[in-house]
Amino acid sequence: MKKYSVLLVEDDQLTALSFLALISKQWAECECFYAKSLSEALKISQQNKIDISFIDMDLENPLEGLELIKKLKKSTYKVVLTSHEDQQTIFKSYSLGCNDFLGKPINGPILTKIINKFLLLRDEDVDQYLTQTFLTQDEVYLGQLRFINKWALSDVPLLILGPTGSGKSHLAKEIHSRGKKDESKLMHLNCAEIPEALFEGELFGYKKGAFTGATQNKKGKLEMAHEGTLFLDEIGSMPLSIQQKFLRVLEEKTFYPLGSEVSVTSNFRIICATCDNLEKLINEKKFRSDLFFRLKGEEIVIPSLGDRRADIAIIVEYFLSSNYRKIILTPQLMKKLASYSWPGNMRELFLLLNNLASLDKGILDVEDWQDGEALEEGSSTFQFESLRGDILEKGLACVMQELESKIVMEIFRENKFKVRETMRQMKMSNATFYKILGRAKV
Amino acid sequence: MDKELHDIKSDLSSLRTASEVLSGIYFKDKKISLQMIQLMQEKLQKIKQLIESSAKEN
Repeated sequence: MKKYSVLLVEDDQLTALSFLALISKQWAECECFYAKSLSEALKISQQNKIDISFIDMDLENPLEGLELIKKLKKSTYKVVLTSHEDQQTIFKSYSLGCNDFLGKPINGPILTKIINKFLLLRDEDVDQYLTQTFLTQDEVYLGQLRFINKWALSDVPLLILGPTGSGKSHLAKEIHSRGKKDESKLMHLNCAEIPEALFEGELFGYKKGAFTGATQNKKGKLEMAHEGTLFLDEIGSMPLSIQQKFLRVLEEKTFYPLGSEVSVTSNFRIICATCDNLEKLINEKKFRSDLFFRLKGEEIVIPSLGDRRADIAIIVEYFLSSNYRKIILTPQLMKKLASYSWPGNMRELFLLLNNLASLDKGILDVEDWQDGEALEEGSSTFQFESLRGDILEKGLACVMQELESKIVMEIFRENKFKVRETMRQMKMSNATFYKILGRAKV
Repeated sequence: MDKELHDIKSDLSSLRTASEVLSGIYFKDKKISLQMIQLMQEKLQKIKQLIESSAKEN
């Protein structure tokens, strides 16, 4: 089997033949795909995992090739073939995600340089990529992450374990985006968010009239994940009544939507995540052991932030440079951050940094954060006079939103950042909860 | 004329790449060589016609 796959998108047949001859001579490890048009290229890229693509900038229409850059997977190394050398076009290509240029007429030695650069980035900078993507230099965690391409390219079920807020969803998304499945087909279902009565319909879909309220046909997540990935977050919360039925789907890849007599086939890859101890749930008869072993093709354990404190500096630097470039943390505050236990993991750290940033100070020091929590003026008690002033200044709607966020975040923090517990206590729908979280940039 | 000029430049670029490949000592695939030569002939013919029609116009 060839190690790398190349996609050439070129409408001129002579250039295409020349290019294919050059690349097959210079790079024996590659398998080449060839497309004459944008639509052909998209079809090939959806059916195959493409490592590197060479795209003619001018296909049927001028600059049409640039459209393709946006549509190819992030993991594909994109090289634009062009005879244009104007700065504006080059800038536009890079802003769309192009990685390199190859000028026409195509020159063998320059093609070799581009291939070498691609190989260098793929093989030698893998740790740098992992550190930047997962914000870690922890050897134990990195040791696992180095298998990311293997996980991405196989269809083996993955079970991601880790405490709440540690980045399980992020890892699942990265694995999916590097794989050979359609990048747009990642179906995410948080099992903890769906009430038991609605779970079956959400997963399997239903036909119109299947039950009271089923006013139209609805596709379930299983069907929508066909030729993609089904990501089941908080799998430990899957109702026991569904587990048997779901196990059968994993084995047969077919199922019946509610109220339907016609079976549906779905070829999906399964990734699950949980912060629960599934073995404990099995002992308590809350989770089926056969389903557990079926899901545990490969097990990935994300360490808690408390177990990789050296990463706190990397995370803080990343967060501030992405969101608050003008804020500096003193070494004393950094030391204090590094010594805290972080029960809410990265989610808690991001929340704290947002709160600290809202203090509107350029330099943040230890006194800005007391007892493991960010200082917020009047964080738990609201003074009427101060509220009145705020309402007159910012308007009622804005102040009400701020109050809502403060209350939700306070209870979220009290619950050690457990999503389910917070939603249950506040009798709040998941949509409202995540909207407020989004507003607080969590 | 701009479009024609652009097409000629594009064809010349394609011909140059093809001649580099065909003249390389490593390239020994006869079937592809013949296919490339035929495509080169077509491009040269097209360029010749464009030059002739342009000369007539001027």
